[in-house]
Amino acid sequence: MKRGREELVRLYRLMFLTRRTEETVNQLFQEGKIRTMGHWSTGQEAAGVGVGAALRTDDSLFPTHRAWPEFIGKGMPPGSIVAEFMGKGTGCAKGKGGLHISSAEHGVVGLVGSLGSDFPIAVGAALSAKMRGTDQVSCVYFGEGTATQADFHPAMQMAMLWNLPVIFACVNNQYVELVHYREVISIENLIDLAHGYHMNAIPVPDGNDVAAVFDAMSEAVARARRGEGPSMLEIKTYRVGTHFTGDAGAYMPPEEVSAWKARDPIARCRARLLAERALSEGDLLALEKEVEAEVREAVRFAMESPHPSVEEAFSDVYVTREVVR
Amino acid sequence: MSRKILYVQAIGEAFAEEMARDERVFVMGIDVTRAVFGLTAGLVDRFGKERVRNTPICESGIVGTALGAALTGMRPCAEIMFSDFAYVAMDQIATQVGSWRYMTGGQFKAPMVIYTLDGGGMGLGYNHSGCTEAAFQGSPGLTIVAASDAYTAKGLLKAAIRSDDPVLFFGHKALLGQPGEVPDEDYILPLTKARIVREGSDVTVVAHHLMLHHALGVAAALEKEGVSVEVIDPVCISPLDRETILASVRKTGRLVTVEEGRRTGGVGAEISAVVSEEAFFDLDAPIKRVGAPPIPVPGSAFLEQSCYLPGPEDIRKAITSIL
Amino acid sequence: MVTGVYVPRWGVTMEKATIAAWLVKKDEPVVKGQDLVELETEKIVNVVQAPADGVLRCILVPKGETAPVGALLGVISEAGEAFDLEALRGAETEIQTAGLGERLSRAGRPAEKNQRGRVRASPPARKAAEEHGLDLAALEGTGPEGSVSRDDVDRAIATAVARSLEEGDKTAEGVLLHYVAAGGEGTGLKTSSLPVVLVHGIAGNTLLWQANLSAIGARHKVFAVDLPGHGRSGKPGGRYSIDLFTRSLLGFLDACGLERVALAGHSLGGHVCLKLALERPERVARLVLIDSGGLGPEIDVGFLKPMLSGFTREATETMLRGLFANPAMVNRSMVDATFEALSRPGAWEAVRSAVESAVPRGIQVESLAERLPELRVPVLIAWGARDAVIPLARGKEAHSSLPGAELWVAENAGHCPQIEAASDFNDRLLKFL
Repeated sequence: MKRGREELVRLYRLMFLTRRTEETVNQLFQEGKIRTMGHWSTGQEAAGVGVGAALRTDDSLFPTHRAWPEFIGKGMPPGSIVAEFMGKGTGCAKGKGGLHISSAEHGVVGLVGSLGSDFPIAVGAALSAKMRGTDQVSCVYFGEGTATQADFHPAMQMAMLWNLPVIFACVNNQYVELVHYREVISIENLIDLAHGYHMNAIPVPDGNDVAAVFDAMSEAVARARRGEGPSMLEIKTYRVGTHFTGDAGAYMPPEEVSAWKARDPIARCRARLLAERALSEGDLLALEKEVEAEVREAVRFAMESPHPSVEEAFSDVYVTREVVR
Repeated sequence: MSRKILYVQAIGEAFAEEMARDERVFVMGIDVTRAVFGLTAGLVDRFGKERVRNTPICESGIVGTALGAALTGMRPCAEIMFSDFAYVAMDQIATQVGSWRYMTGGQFKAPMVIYTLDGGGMGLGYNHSGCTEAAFQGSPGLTIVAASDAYTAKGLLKAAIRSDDPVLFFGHKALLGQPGEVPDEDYILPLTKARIVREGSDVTVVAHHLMLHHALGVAAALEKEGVSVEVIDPVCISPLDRETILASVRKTGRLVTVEEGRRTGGVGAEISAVVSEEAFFDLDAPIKRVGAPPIPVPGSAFLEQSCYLPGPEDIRKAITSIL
Repeated sequence: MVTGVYVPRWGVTMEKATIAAWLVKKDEPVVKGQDLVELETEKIVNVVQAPADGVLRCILVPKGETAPVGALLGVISEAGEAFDLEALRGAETEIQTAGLGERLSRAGRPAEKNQRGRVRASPPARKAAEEHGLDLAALEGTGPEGSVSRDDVDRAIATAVARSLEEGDKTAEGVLLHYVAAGGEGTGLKTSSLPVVLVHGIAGNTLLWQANLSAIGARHKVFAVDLPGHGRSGKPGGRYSIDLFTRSLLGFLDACGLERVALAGHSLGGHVCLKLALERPERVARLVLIDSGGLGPEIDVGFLKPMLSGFTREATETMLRGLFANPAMVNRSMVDATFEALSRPGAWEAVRSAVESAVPRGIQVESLAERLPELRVPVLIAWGARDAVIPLARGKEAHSSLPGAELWVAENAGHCPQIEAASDFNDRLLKFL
């Protein structure tokens, strides 16, 4: 690992923070205290954190709906995420995005609901960086199931055509909503798509190794910043949880699930930190306790935050005028 | 002072002036360096290929890329060559472009223009002859304008490019060669204000693009028969300039809407609903809508002219039916 | 459908009412308009009628107790249908204040004009006003934006007709004939030049036409006359024959100066009108025969039997019920008025005499059916399909023997379709006229 222990500790913290935040919010959801759809990233935190953490705050990220590791990896505080998720006025988008979380401050440009519409939008952000002469990069993070969407093709085209600093980070968690991906996708390795466009392809076969993901992403980012153009990553992992809260997951064979649970990214990272003596057990427990306190505070903040005012529903539609009702 | 230029030149001048004024403005689309309809003629020579950018064929990709660029500091103008193809980019236009600001709670804005041309009458058939502005009326966050002559084409396009909000600019193919007076000095027009092109007192006619000119012709003819027709160019299809339209209907008591697009769910449908809600007791007669029938545009030029495209006769009939 | 029964407001000062009697038991079926519960206030005792068809599911305020205006008294719904008492109770305040405040704030507000000086009115209102010769600008506008609604116009028409209501007496053949009239110039409305005269049947009187006078009066001067021996007309005694009635009717027309009229007669009154139309065709411009006698022998005067065994209020009620397909049509005020009229000296004798004269031994003695083709005026034959007194077949035969005659049948009415299907009858009659 290139950056050393500090980096790994940082990544571990980010993953642990993600998992605890999701678990706590999921608990509230199960108790009926909040109302929306949750798409938890249990088991694939390394993929999102590895990608998000390798980007700068001023880089543009277009995440998936299963994106809390990405948001947190990119530096968003959990309180802002959870408050927005609950539709509160103190959320990063004043409660108007809901699960569509964004943060200009952290370079999370927005979350598209009709999966895949953000491919060209991410390309546009990269085009913008290039035209403005900055070394910012753009990243669209998407699941393997989204790769079949219509705009994937022109986005890949334009990225190569104009040699843009955009990274197509595909996380293959093997399940496209409620079916196994091979039922609806004709190829085993999504990275093969990059070859069709002659795009720099970076497979990450062990997507549960956060260091591997981080390194692969960093490589892609560095290339882009140097003006060497776009890359596609395929990060192989597994979605231990279900597609969304309320989905019983009966379609996922239990042996498969438990095999992957044994390769949990957080447990592995923790073990590695201990093995490399980056942190002691005591350090880890202290860190984890601190994270848990941060999560509790974030959730408390979100729960106690007020709803947006009614007037808020009608603002921010336009810059130049008010809505005519 | 003013000059006479063609509608297509007015559009070209708008691009050139705004691109000179603000280096963040750029044009992208299929064949924009070659300017199939002449809209972007000469721009690449002046501003180069970075700012006059040919794209692959993919309307949704074009609009999406423009959106991404707009969200991150640029001011793109994305071309959709035939307005029929706007539907290929439906999700991008109807959902993403207009909602992004709101969805991010105002953290981002999308200062972009999507410009396109409506219009049949050239025998080009079902997929190259349409008028699609009505389809986007209900989409939030968008400003939809229709330019009916050189003066409004230039003024509206410049205003659209300068606006911090996303604007859909609909021109019309049949008007490209139409001459019109434009002021010499720099000018922009308000994006959401209708204009009363001809004053009258017996009936209000709201019409845009080629239909505006047909309506003016019918109004002139009817004047000789003692009927005074007020003709309004809506300018902004969405949001409608309700004030201007309602004030006119309160004055005349009668309304006919005219569009080249299909009647069903068209621009006239929304205008009718607004007027019947807010000026019901000022109406002396039912509101009439003139528009195309619910059929694809026939490939046969003969059928297109005789059965599909609304014309002066349809406008006249609609007016006289409610006098 | 669930409908709440609430204490109505019968006057501006009314605040509460005491339940004097429930006229229907719990779980009994009711018909819309049927007398449901008798309430007593400081000023009056009156009956609340069922607001809907269904079953009386519950009685919330029993006899003897008092409830304020707007209070929920009971619930009508389909048998077995679930209903939400809380929700129904929720409407109490609204009902208590309804109509009162809103009407007070809108009452007396003249119709608004639009920018071009035209009165704001809905198209149906405009049309109705024009048809009746009403000036929209003079009407009260209670519709949206102060506009004149159809209701406003209808109210204005009804008010105009009500103002024109007159009662009086004429003398014909030495007998005092009482009449009620409405419509005509006194209304200020556009009025037809054709006056209408309504003639009741056996045991009837002008009150029989209560549901029709206002509607007809909106367009025509209309008279309802009490035949000799009936209502408030004189009771000369002797034989009350069809001839007598016919001569009296003619005398009435003369006394009123009515040269040519539309005659509408019910039951025996129809027979009388038909006879007059045949004998004096120059006096009759239009003829309406409603479940009319004189068209054939069949008649079932069994409905009068209860009266023969003992002339009581109960007997009157039973008699009246026989005249309708839906017995719930017979409400308290109808029974009271009929009983009162028949209790007057000489009234009941007149009825008996008329029956003996026209229907001795149970069949109609005079049939004018064969003379129908002599008629040279437009004829409307109106009949209740479930008429138990004179069968529909009589009406249908009369219709088929008269080319050009019109036939109107009220499917769910008995002997008195002009009451039981009043709204449709009025529309049809006006159209015919």
